[in-house]
Amino acid sequence: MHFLAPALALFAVLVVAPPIIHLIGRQHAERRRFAAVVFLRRALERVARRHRLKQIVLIALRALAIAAVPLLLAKPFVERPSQLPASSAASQSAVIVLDNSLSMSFRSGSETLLDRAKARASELVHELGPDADAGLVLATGGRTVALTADRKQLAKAIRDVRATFLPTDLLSAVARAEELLQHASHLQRRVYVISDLAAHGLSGHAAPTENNIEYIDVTEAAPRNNLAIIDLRVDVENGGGMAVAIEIANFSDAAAKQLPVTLKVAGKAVARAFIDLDAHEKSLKRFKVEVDSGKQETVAVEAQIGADALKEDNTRLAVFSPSRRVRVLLVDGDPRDARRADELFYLQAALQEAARVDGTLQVRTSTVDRLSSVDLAQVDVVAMANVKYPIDSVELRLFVERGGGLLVSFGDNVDVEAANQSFGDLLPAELQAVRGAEGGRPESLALLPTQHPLAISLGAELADKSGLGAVQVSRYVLFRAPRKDAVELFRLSSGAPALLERRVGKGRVLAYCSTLDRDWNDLPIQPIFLPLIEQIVRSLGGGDSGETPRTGIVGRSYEVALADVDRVSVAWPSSRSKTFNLQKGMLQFSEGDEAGIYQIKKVTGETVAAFALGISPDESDLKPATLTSAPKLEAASLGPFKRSVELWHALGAALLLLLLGEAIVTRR
Amino acid sequence: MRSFEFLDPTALSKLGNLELRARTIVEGALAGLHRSPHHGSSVEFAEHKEYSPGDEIKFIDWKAYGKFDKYYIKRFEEETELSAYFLIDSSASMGYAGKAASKLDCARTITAALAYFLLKQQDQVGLVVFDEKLRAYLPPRARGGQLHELLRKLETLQAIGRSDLERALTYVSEVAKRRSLIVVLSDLFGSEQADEKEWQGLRHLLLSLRAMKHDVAVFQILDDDELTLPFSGTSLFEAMEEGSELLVDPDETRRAYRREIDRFVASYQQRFAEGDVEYHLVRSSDSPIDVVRDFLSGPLRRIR
Repeated sequence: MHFLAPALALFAVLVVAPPIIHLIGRQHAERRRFAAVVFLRRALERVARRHRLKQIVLIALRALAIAAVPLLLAKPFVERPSQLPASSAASQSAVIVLDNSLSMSFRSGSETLLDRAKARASELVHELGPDADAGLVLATGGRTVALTADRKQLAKAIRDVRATFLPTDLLSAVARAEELLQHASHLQRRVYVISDLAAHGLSGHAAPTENNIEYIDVTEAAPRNNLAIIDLRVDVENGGGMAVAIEIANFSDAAAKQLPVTLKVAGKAVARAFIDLDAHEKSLKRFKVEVDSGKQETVAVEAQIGADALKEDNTRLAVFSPSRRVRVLLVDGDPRDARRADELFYLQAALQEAARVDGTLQVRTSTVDRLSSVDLAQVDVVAMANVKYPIDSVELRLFVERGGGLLVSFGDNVDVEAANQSFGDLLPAELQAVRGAEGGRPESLALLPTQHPLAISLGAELADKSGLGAVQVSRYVLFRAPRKDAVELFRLSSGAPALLERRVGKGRVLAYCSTLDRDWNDLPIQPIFLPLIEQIVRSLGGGDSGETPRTGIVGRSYEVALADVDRVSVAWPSSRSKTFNLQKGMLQFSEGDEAGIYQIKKVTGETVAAFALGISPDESDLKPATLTSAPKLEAASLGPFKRSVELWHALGAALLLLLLGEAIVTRR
Repeated sequence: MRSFEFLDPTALSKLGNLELRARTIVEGALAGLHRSPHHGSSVEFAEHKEYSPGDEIKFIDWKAYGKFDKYYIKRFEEETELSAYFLIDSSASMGYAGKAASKLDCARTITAALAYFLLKQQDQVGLVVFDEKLRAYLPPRARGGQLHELLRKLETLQAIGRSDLERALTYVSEVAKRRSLIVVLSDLFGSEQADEKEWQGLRHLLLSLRAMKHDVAVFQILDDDELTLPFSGTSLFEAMEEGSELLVDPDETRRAYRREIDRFVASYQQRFAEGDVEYHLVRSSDSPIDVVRDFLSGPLRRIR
């Protein structure tokens, strides 16, 4: 119990007055000589118990009544636990940040955390001061309700909030709430964050804030144990099979024993295993699944683990698309007896390694002289390394226009004029001259910002210091100005284009300014060489790159390169769909808010690709936020909150009852 | 209305002379009675009384009937041979005085008045004063100096000690050789705790007295305070006989106390009735004149 005027409460010690007066009264009782004392004694024996009880009751009533007066004047109150902070009843402008992210689907008892959060939000709206106005912001970035005094509208908006698969971004939500409060009518402005306050929702840097932020933790400090599939990778196994890797995390404080893991392909369970996971441990479970090589269509792969309080992350989907075999013809422009000196030594080695790994590349070699005898219809990609021109390029042109891919690299055999005459119109840019590095200092390569699949799949590796930056180019072919339809992918440190691509007919031509052996540069001995060459060949061959991401994360942007289409429609797992225009052959899809498989279709309805969006692994980790960068979280009380309950009204009533009781008992 | 009716006990107590007080009371009592209260079958004619049903026909005065055409009964002065013993309880509890005179004073006044009357009738009057012991004894006599002797003893009485009525009655049973009237004046405190066995002893004694043709009358004298417990405020009550103390809130205890005292009075009333003993409850605030008158007109007439 607390008091507004505690000094007055000290007078409650007067509670001892009635007993003292009683005792003093006994000592000062009037003495009477009386003859019939024996009858008094008998009478007293009869009424003694009742009399003593009455005395005690009277003394107690009087003592309590006396004590009640100073306590009443001291204005007592108690603090009782509350689901909401005490500030909620104030007159204010308030914005409620309601977390409807995936982690709020965590089930606690018979309700989800979102159900509880909505209930808290509704209570909050109900309890706001009579002239308060309030708004609503969703922590997943959804709909916003501006400040309004219309409680019904706000209550309806809260009721309409649905659980999502989206990740939490409380800091952004708080920032949006503060924007709403900028034009608030009240001086008291508060942001109420109703969330599970998991650490993943409060990561990042919080901007300083002037407003009061109240955090309401709907987990009520209950354990947040969760098991989740945080990744599902499906790769092509050498020979055409499927290699599945399921990453499972135990975000609990307790170990999980014999956790069932089920793999389904096309809706049919094909494998099942049991794993043990220690607390806070992650584990990778691999499966190999045979796939009918005759079938080329995309299939859905689904991984499942046993149920827990957050069921949404117990299932994860991926898309498996059997890779199309790419047939590559390597044309050796400078064959040598010594294998290491051969122009194709590095190129052939790189592609054969890739072919060995997944079996979807078929590599064979030829020379310029024998090129005319090759049936290009049986080839998907032609790589011409340091070829001496002129050559007959008619077949080559037809090959490209029909959809073939052509990779051209240069070397000591290059004759700029002859090359331009032979197939300069095929190249992304005509050749100008052969140059050495300026000042004798070798030049390096750099990746240009682009949405090309090559950049998307290998962007991080290429941009790494050990990637293109490590390549030293001592001699190269200087291109003339690239054609308008050409795309510059790599550039030399001098600024000259290094790798150019151009679409010709249904095919594409890629020109690299230097050699694919070590004569003019050291690219072939750099770690990036092997994946780069493989990607280039797969890209030109139109097959699955093997690295093209067919999975993404709900709430994040997903990009996919699509050939031969400008406009597609995307069908959500829930069957709703929307049409998108492609930018330079790229679909940028950032509206994925469901977990599952999305279908990309041409306007004609033909499915051209599919991808799966999974839940952000961060959302599965429900560990509570620590005192990090959340705005004012350091000073915040996460509850249970306390609310003052004034007692003096009840005490006043009690005093009246005490006085009434005293009067009644006295008269009896 | 006679002037004696206005003599209340307080006014009487202010009459210091006990003899004067006795005479005043007796005259007051007699004023309310027929002039000659003692009637019997003596040979000396006393008066006429108008006949009323129940009177013996043999005493009808036919001559008077001839004169007045009404029936008159002839009544005669009786020759008295009565001895009266007045047993006065002088224990400490008899000294209690509320607003009226003390109970001992009340007993003293009643005794004096009755003794005065009886001696006037040539009866013999004796006195026994007792507490737990016999404090004084005056043998019954009818001679002229007996009244003064008795009054002198009454005036010197002091309320001390406990009460032992049985001892006093035992003594009287031994000394009273002829038919006597034994009058007990006591608050009967001290024997209030008597159990049935002890009461049986007292009852046996009373029956013995009755068997000896004695008549017994008991005046239980109680103060109004003792009957009603009118006090208020927590008080420390000191017992007058035992000296013990008791802290009591009279307001809280009054009802239970009255039940106890009523039960006490009723039990003696019933027991004396069973023992053929005349019983009178006298409040010390009662007018002695009324008390004496009632006694003279009732029990004493029957005894004679």
